[in-house]
Amino acid sequence: MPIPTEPIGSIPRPLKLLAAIDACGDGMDPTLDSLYEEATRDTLEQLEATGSPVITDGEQRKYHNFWTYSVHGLKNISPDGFKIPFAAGHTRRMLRLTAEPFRYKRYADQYLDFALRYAHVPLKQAVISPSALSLMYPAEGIAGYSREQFIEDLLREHETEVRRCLQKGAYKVQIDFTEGRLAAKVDPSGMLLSSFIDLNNLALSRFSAADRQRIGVHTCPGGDWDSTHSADIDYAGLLPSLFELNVGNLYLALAGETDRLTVLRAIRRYLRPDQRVFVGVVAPIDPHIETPEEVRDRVLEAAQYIPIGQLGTTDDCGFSPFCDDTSTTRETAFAKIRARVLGTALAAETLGVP
Amino acid sequence: MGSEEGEEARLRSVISENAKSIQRVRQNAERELIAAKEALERKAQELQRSEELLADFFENAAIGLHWVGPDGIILRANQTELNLLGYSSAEYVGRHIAEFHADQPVIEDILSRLSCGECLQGYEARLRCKDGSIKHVVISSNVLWENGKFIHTRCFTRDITDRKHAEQALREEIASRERAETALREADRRKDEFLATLAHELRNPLAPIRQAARISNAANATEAQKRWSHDVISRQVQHMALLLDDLLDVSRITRGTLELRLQSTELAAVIDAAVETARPLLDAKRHSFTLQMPPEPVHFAADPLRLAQVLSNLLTNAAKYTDPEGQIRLRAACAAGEITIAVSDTGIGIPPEELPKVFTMFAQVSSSRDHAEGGLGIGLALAKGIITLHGGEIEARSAGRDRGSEFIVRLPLRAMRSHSPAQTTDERSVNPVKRRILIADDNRDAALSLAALLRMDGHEVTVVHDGHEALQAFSQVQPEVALLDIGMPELDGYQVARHVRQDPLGQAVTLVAVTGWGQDSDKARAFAAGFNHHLTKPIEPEQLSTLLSAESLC
Repeated sequence: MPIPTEPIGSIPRPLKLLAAIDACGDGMDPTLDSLYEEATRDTLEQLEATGSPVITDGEQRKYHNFWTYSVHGLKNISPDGFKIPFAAGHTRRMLRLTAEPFRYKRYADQYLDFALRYAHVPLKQAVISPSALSLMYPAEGIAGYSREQFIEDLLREHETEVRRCLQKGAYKVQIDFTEGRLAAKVDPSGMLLSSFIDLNNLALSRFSAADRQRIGVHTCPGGDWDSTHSADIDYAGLLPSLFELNVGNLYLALAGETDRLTVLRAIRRYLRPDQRVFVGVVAPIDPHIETPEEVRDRVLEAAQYIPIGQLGTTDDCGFSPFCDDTSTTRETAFAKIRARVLGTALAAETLGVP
Repeated sequence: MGSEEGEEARLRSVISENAKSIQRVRQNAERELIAAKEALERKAQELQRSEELLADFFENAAIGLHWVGPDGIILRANQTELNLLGYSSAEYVGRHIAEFHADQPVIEDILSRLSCGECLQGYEARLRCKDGSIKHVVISSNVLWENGKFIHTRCFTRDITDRKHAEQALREEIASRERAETALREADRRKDEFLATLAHELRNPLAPIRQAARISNAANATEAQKRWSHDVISRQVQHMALLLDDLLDVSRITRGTLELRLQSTELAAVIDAAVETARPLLDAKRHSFTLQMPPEPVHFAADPLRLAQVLSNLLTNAAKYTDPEGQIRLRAACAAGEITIAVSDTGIGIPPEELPKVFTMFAQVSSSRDHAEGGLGIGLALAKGIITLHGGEIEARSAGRDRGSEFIVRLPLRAMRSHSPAQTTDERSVNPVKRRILIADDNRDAALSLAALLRMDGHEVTVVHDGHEALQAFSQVQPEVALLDIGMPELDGYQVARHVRQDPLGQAVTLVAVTGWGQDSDKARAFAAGFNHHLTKPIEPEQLSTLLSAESLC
């Protein structure tokens, strides 16, 4: 079995689509459907053209961002949630739940419905983690709707979304957990990260071991406009908690790390036998397009610390987790992905993996 | 900056509260998990208990149970089935079920039907036990299918061996009864046939007797006609007497009362006598008769008259059942302490199915000639009885219808202890003594004809026809001998005898019971009533003469 390689998810939307959304003022306007479909089909074709054995729909229809796609448009939310500051100086604001009950507006399997009609290789689907959405419940609480009830509803909605994706044939379901590193930054005591891990494990405990082998968790310092929200946090310190997640696959950003060897050593120390770790070998926020050889070298480097049978490659992060992020072009994204695919193959060849 | 700090403080607050809530949710989830685990454990225990009960039911069911896989291999069997057949589990489970079936087509049919989804009910089969015996069983079976896949059969085996044996015994009993009923019907048919034949044989002589009597009584009958009539009557009476003698002999043999008068007998003399008897018929049908005798004279212990009677019967049969100008042969031989006499012919033969029955009473080979040849069909039964009394045996052989017959008599070659020939009554001298005799019989002809015979011998005879007259005659005649019929109306012979014996004058009279009843019980009853002698009808004149000539009658 060759070294598996998978994308994280998002691909920059076509500028034509972004312009239409901007002009329309509402990303959910039905008049945009044909543009969404055109963008999705093109993304699928381009990704397949890179040779990637597993692809995504590029999250072309995740209007606004990877974080709030499931609740965007609900009546009982407000846009004045917490602000997430990025290193480049800009912020992203979360949504806030204003009234009971907490329900998803949409489940990610609806994106699969469309993509599966055009994909010719296995499709993976990314979903938002319950820990990310848990920050929607306000500090002051909601009268008549306890935080515990909210947590229960959140877990049930998340479980429903993952099950629907698995049932529809997603090759993998990837839970985006970019807030892991942010939690360590916000709460150096580790309590927040620990509670996030607990919450996500509560969700994962609802699945069978076989299902969990088709589920993965992705974490990164958060890439937006070629900037991060928590790259300054010691990644190696985060990893012990990450490997406590009861999940079969972990997708970890590594290409953009300044001290990859320290991270790799931590991975080697905490990786469990039933887990495969996909290390990032291309950095979306880096304008430089990696060559296959550079990628190969990163894989060979990782292979010194991670058993080949538990090693995979991926992108450090999505190329455009927020819809309006145009800092990276589609061409750059596909070129980086192609480099990942080729470089991983080169590494496999070098390592003698058939 | 202050706003950002406030934002971060609020975020920490949310994070803190969320952590507490997540902890509580997790605790709730853990409690639910524990409860679920406990419920699962309870379910597992219940399931285990249920499995134990089912296993107990399987093992100890009162009926044999087993599972067979799609390849015919026994997967499981309960103790009841193992006990039924005598195998251990290791000897039974893991083997092909066909190994235990006595009838291969049966198990092949069972497996074929089950594989087709059929549910078997009450299918009878025979299973082979470890000790080699066979058990009859009834099998009810179907297949456990999962997603169209044959998992195993569910087979119930019930032992019906006792029932089968009982049914077999019942069938045999019914068959035995049917054979007995058939034999009874056959015997009944033969009896009817015999009675019809007997009536025919007895009636045949009547016509010539009646006609001869009329001729003899005719006023214009010549002396020659009267002598001829006398000869006819005598011949026919003799024929009738022979028939009756045969009947009586058969009766005696049946009752075991026939006694042989054994004496040292010369074989040639017996055969000569038999040939002499059969000679008229042999000659009448122009048969070629061949006689083969042993080179030396053979003496042995036998009743010569009875033996001659047997051989003449065989020769007469051979002559009767062989077409004219046939070949009749008698061969006598003596070897290894045994005399063998074989009478063979070229006649109608005996079908194989009739051979075993020829020596039974009233048996005659079915043939349109049977009645034409006459006879009661008791001759061979009589022959067998006589030969058996001699300690010998008689055998019939025939290659089939129209292939001739052969009757072989084997007799033990035994010598008499005393060579002096037995003295028969016929040889005793008879002293002519005149007696005063009373005859009482309601059969007037019998009484009068007997009186006539006795008067011809010089006796003084008084005849009466009932018991009362007999008692009157006693006091008037004072007879020396009274011949009393037993079956007289009003006052029978027993009553007359008792009255006579009660009279002082009746003590000296010799009372002779004359009756057709000749059983031992009849004789005992007669003696008890006071009779001195018991004679069975028809009375042999010579026997009566001997009795009357005795100097001391009582």
